[in-house]
Amino acid sequence: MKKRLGRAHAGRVAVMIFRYVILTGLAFVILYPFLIKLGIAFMDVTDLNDSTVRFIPKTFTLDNFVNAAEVMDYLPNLLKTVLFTVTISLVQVIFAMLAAYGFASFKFPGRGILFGFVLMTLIVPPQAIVLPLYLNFQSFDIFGLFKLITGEPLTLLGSPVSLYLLAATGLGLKNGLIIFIFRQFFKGFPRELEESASIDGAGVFRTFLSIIVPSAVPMILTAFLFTIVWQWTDSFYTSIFIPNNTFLARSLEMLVTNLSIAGGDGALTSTTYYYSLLNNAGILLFILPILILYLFCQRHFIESIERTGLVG
Amino acid sequence: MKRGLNLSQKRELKGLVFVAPFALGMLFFFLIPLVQSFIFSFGDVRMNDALTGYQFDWGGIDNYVRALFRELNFTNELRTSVVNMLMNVPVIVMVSFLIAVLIKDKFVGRSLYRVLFFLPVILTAGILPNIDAEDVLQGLMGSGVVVGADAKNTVAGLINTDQLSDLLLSMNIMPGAVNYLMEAIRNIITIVNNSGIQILIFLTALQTISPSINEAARVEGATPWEIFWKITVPMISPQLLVVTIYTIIDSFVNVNNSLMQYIYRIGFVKFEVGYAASMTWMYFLIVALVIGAFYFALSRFVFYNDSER
Repeated sequence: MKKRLGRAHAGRVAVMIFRYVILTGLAFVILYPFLIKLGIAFMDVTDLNDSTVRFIPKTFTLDNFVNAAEVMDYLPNLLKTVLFTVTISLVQVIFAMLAAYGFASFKFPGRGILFGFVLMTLIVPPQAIVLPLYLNFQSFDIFGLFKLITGEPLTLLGSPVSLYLLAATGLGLKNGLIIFIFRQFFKGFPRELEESASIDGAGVFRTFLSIIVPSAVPMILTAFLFTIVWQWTDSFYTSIFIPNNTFLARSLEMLVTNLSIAGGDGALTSTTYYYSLLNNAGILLFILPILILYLFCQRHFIESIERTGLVG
Repeated sequence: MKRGLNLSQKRELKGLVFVAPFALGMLFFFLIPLVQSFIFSFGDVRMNDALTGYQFDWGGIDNYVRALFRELNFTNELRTSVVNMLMNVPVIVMVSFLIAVLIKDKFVGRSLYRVLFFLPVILTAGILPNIDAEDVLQGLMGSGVVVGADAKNTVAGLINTDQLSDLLLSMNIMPGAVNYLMEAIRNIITIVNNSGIQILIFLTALQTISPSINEAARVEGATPWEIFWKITVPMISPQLLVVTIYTIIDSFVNVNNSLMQYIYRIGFVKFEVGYAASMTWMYFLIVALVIGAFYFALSRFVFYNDSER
């Protein structure tokens, strides 16, 4: 008996060692570029001329963050970006869930083809359709309706409405993946629960809201995280459809350019190396809010699973 | 009944309501632009100066002939893309699944590792790879989320794969398998950096498996090995399909894909919109065929709780 316990224990230890070795090794691959950024961001300007400094700064400073934040107009733009990203992600996730539920639990003619289109939206890169889409939004009209009413087609270009429209119709950034994830999840959902709800008199939409949605909380959080990250880091769509936006992605992209236009006030502070210090601080400032959000979600979705544990 | 609809037809209608927003958007914001770009591929497009309109000159299948027969870039890059996909996708799916399994259970430092493996999702998204690539100091330190050939050289500088491969070959392991493994190791940066989303999908799927199923199996005397293959794998097979399909797509249309970069340069830097559109269309058809083949092949092995849907 004792021997058997000993063997089980040894097995657990072996799994533990295996786990830490693999995870730490792979974590290094991931962390390496991140640590480099961290090192650069905290580095003082004087370290640039010190040949003994390579990765780890000799003089730590927060100046880079302060200066980068100033050039990026960080706080006001952060608020704008948060507001825009969160609302557009909510729209994306909600409508993706609706479509996914439609695909997963109803049979209707054309379902297969329509779902094929979901995958197609992922395959066709945004670059391929962006030009026609651009022209489409410039004079937006559905079957000439707006022209009939107001005499003019609507110009949606330059307003966030165009991006919200894309999000609501499941065509935002990588939206197809979100629909696909939810569809798979809903398909695996036990049918009996839905049936018992409908026997209890709940309609389709009621069932969706009170049975399906609560059980999908972990999936919703994951999808929400993805959409947030994609929207947060996107400047392709936003710069085409809202050309004069000041979202953080744009501020970060323009950071070095703006710096070199403004110029520095000393020999060291007007070099590209100095700009790079600020750039790295800017990158960290840029990803910090998403990391915080992830930490929050991460804890929350473990708890929510342990609470519901419904599926299966 | 009054309207002459039976119950299942009513249900059908409700299903249509759920997918209606997507179907509409599909038509207006996807299919119409797509058809337009298909027309563009048969000629040359010139935007006017105010970017309010364009002029289109019909050129027949000229663009296609040019891409396929007159210039070598397209066909070469296409071959590279397909080979890279076949090499990387199985490894990415397996590695991300392994990581998800490893960070699922409770152990000291779990939260830390979960954050770590989420980092690539952010660091490789949107504008960040480009900003890294243009950063001066990161370039000097040999960092950034390096991809492609650079990444391979970085790893080759760190690990000597020759010795390991000699060792494995002397153990009489198939040379093909050894080569594949070595290639995977040399690609490890690309692989790990492209696994973030996959890990999170797997992790979520693993966590939604009710613990009571595993418990029941254990009570019945199933070993962890059996539980893994007979419960865990079937239960997450729907997400396994998502991850595989997404990984294939991502490998094809990722911003770092060299064919995508080539097409982008032609279309948005050289402004040969028609030529770019013709290449996009050929690429799109090939990718769609590959995805379709994988989708149908893999769907047969996917287990849904309810098979009648």
